[in-house]
Amino acid sequence: MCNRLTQFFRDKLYLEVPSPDTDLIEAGLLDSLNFAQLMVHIEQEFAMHISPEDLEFDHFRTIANIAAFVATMSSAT
Amino acid sequence: MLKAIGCLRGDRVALLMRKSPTAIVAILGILKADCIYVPLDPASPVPRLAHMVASAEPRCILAAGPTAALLDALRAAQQSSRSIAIGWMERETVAGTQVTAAFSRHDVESCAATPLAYRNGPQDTAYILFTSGSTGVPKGVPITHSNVAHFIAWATRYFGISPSDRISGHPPLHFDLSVFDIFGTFAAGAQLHLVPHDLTLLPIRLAHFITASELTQWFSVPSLLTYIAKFDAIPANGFPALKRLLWCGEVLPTPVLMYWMKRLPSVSFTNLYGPTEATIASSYYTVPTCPDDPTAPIPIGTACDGEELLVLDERLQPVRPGQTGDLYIRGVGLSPGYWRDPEKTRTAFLANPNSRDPSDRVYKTGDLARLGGDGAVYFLGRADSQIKTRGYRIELGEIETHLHALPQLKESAVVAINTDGFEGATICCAYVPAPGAAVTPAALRQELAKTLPSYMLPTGWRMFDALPKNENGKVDRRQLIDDFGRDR
Repeated sequence: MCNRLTQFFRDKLYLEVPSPDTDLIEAGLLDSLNFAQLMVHIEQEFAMHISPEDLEFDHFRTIANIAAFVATMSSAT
Repeated sequence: MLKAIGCLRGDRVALLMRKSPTAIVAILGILKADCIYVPLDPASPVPRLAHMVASAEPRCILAAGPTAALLDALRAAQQSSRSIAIGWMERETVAGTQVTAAFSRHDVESCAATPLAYRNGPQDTAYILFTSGSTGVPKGVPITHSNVAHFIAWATRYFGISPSDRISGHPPLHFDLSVFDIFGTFAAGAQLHLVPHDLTLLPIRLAHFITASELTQWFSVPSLLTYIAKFDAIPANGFPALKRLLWCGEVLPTPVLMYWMKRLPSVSFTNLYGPTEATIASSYYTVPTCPDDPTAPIPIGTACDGEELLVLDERLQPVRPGQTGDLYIRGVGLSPGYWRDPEKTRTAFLANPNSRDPSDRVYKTGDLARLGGDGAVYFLGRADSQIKTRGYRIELGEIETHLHALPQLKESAVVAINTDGFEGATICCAYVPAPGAAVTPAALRQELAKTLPSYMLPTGWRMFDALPKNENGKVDRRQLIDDFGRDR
């Protein structure tokens, strides 16, 4: 899942993420522009819906965290 | 403390820290020391910061937060031998390797509390802000105490800001909108509520902050309003304490305005317009009723006190109502001119052709405008390749200069396409790899990020075997805009 996400960051968002534990916000990779793009892409890629209430920093802070978040949401449906 | 380390009247003091009470105190200290504050964005790449430091030549940099590595890098990148003192505004000692602070917060706090005399007057420069430059380097805009005082006087009167107001502080210190937040609040004796930087990405938490802080005034760039609207983050009962909502920096899409006005029927909504060169804002338009047509444009309105909007033709003569012309600004908001750049100043700040007074200048905004039948001025767009995205002003030429410096590209061009999204304009890069070079958009972006701030990095990328050219042999930008527009 982390590899898939890293590839997806590279190909869809044009962002080179060094590792699954890189803090995306501290590294300046995520900002208000691509954050919304990221949401849209995740929803499409993983066929899920992210509601505004789910928007917590920690869910998206690292690729590892995103993977965990997506896994939780998928199993909940 | 600043005077103790040798700061003289007119010296620049740079500020390298995020907005905080400490930063605001630092600004006040700088102003009281008869100096000029130069706010630097700690998120900027080192080369860009180094350029601004080299241009402003500050006597001192006041720093706080995780900037130790940045200070080291700046010291390393410094061309001149003139040393810049560092004032470390935190309680713990700075953990840099090369940098030693000339003074720290302890020193500041142990100074006497008696006020010192200051000598600055209205014509003295209060701050210098840097804006994107089309030739590749940012240009400094000095603004005087008088420039600011006039705007604050108009704004506090017009908006009726009083001590019971609770004002938002969202724009960062390197945006001049922050000057209104800070000094408008202080002038009125109101309360300033700094919005935590993190909340910008989390619309529900931002809405909660507005409610919990019982803000009476919200002032931000339109893209944030669009972002909140996109997530429908305004609570069902609105923001009960909110009286006024102001925006400035770019066009607010009318559908977004309609969303906000319907959800907050008792709030007044005001569009403010004005470039950095004319101080914070130069015109205003309070929307009388919620528009019912999502395609109706919102005007930039009429000039603030002491200022004038002029819509002129190529001969600098006023156009007829309804005719498109170049937008010029005249009056009390005009900067004295670009920092140490007489040539750029001459091109943009012109003598008023309709006046005999040589000190009567007009600033050419580069914006196109039209005078409406209702007496309000309507903004129509740019005459050049400057764009606004998320409130940031960006010269596409600055981005192209950095791209052209990359050896792995044979050719490149940057265009902006307008989307219906909250971003404003989307920056797209068309590129041709150099022979034999293996190039990916992610790698290009990573390379550019070394010298350009994140908001200037293209988000659309497309590789070409050769860039489309028009009959003059120049890059056919219209074709590129069509190509990128189709991709979306």
